[in-house]
Amino acid sequence: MKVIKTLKEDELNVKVIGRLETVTAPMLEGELKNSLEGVAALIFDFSELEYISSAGLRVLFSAQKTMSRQGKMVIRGVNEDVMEVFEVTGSVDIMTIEKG
Amino acid sequence: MTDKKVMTEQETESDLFRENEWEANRYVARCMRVLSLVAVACWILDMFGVFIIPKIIMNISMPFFLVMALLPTLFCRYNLSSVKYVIMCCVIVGICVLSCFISKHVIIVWTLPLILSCHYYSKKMVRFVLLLSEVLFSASVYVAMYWGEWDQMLLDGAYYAGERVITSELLMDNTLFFVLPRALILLGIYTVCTTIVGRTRGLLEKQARDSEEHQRIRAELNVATHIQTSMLPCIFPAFPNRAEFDIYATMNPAKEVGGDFYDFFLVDDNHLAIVMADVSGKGVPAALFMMISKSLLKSAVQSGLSPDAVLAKVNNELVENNDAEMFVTCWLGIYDFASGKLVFANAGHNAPAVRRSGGAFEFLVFRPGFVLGEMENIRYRTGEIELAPGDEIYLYTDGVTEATDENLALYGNNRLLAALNSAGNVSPREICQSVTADVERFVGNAPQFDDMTMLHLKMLPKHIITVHPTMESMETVLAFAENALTELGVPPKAMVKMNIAADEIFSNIVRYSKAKRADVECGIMGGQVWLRFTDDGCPYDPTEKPDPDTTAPMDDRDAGGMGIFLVKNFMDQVEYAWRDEKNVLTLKKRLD
Repeated sequence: MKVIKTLKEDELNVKVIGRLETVTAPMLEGELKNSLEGVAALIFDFSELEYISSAGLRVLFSAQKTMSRQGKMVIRGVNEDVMEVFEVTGSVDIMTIEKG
Repeated sequence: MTDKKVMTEQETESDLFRENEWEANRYVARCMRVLSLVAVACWILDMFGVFIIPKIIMNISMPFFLVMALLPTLFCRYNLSSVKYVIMCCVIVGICVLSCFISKHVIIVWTLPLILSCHYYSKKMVRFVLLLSEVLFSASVYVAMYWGEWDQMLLDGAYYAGERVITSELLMDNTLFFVLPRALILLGIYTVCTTIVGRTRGLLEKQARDSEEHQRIRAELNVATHIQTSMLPCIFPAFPNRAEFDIYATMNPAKEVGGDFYDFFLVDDNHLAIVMADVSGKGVPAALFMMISKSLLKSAVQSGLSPDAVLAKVNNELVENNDAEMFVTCWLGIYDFASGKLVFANAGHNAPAVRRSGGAFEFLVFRPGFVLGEMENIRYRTGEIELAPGDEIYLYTDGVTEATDENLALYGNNRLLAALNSAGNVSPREICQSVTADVERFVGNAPQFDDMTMLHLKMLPKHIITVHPTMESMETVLAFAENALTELGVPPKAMVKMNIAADEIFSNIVRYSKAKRADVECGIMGGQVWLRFTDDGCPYDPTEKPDPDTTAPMDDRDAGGMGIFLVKNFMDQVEYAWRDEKNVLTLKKRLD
């Protein structure tokens, strides 16, 4: 997995490439940990994310909780497989998700 | 049971004759219509002076006769059992009227009612018609003497100055010389009629009985077909708990029952027996011999004998009481899962086709021994081949290779090999289906001449990895699963879900089980891909974990439990077992 972060003023763009699973989720968690301070909008670009497991969901939930307090969080470019995981787990109701 | 049967017989009988009655009514009506046309023609001819019957007589008798002759056409529409008597009454009364007026011309027509009544195949009916004919026609003679057309024979010497004088002497003469002889002639015709009726009725009843007997035999044959097919193992997947092989077999008899058979069964946990055999001849005799052969073979194999010893033993047993002089060809193999070797012996049967993993099908050439059931004390040789994971073997009877098309060309070994090879790397069921389809295409409209039976055994490729479950081994396991599943031909769509499932389950084992060792295996069976995790950690059944609340608000959300929930959603089956002090979790997903 690869994470590319781009910060434009108070908008943080995070592009995740590959698979977000047990082994790789801590990496994203680490990348986000120290980057969210002062960020008003967190945009995830999932257009090159293959799939996501519950470990990845955990990271997204935690980011969502943080962002709910200080701004907004949007997930963009979600493919069918990832969308299915969001739908099955009811994540679509608590996060802003846009299909790719 | 007997009562019921008798009742059914009576029903078919009366059904049979009721239907005939209906037809006979219509036939009589048709005859009477023809007769009325003839009468009308005579009437017209008489009007124009061709005949010299007094017009007054014609004008009285004809309308009355025509009414009587046409009434049956009206009545024959009603399907009541009394209609036939009404119709015959009309016929007799009509003819009687003619007989009263133009007696000498219609005397032959007296026999018509009796002849027509034969069509009812009922002696009662013929008796009724005879009785009525005798009474009415005899009476008509006397009426004719007084009011009918001048009949020289009847009225010989009764002509005195233009007036009829009927003397008692004349009445007596006519009774003796006309009425009685005619009545006797009718009686004579009646005896012929009842004989015809009796014989025809007997024939019809026999025919009905025969067809019932025929139906009974057909029904019994259907049951026999069912018994025969249900004697062969026919539930697939046959061994859902055995991941190391997949087997499929089919029998397609040319007649209701056949002489071909296959069999397969686990002799013990470590040995699988496969049998393909063909009894000489077809139909019921072959099927009976097949049942015996199958039982003898199975019990001999189960007693632990080697294939050559099994064939020798069964051969002697079959020879012993083989009055019908039938024989069986048979190929018997016993596979040892521990050594991966298939030992086999052959009693005059076609060579099976074997494919090594990744290769092409080839016939397993091995000199066969003599057929079973012909000669005592035959010795058989045992052959041995290795069947490694991925290898497969196809057994069949000559009904496959000797299937003929409309030009009597044989399907043959080469076409069979080509069909097997073109089927590709598919399940045993699909191999058998595609060979059957190919044979059917080849045969076209020609009738199936011989039973067609086949069995396919495939040793499934083994994909297993054993690791010490740690976060570090996680990537190894996931990579192994992905490679193995790709090799098994799992499509990308299902692949993503298998990957997610592997990630969820194995991460759970790593985090919570405290296991020292975990096996991960996968394979494909019966159209399902399966993934199995076996670990020696603390007993834990994830299928019992309650589903998380997927509608809770964000702050109450916890990703815990989401993993198993995803797995349950993405897989078709999640099975947990605690076996040999180990957690065994099997995930299955259908590949459609």
